Amino acid sequence: MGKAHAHDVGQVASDVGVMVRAGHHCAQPLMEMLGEAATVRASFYIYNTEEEAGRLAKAVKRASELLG
Amino acid sequence: MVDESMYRENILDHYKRPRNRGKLAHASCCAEGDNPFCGDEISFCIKAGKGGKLEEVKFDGHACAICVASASILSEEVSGKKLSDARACSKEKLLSLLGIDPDPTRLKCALLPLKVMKLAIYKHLGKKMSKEDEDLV
Repeated sequence: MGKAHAHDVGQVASDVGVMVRAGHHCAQPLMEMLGEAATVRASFYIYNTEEEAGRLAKAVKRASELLG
Repeated sequence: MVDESMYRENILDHYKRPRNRGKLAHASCCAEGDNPFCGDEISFCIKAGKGGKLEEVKFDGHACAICVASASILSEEVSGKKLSDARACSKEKLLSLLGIDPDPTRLKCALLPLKVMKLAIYKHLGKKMSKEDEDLV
């Protein structure tokens, strides 16, 4: 993802209708251990479709191109 | 359809080539602030010159594109202005310079630099931050 910030990746994903969580995830000690200011987390469940996974993949690629 | 209205050319330009980013030698005053929910951390250092003017402004930190672009655009806007005018910069003014209308979450990213820049001026002047400025973020 290069230098892209978690919030920006989340925003680009949101723009294509994919909801992810970005930030500290209420786990600041973990972020400190990882040495990261913030991370993005995508979670799948039984209702997610392959088409949605494809949209997420495109959003990640787009965010990397745009902001990485 | 991809709607990247938030990442307009001027935002990306300031994000990728931020103006006035770095350390300021012989700063009159510095302030820092963060947004613990998203992990934005920004610091502003100012150098006060003759006639109560803001001779130089520099910011630094780790933040998202909106926050970095906002800090960069703000630093250009207030450089050379009177401290009192720089401190009076409104959020509406900054948002119009950014050219975006962010949702409440991203609004905090856009306004954090404004609050930190103002805090540095308040600290330099030995004054307490106004309630209105305190509530910016």
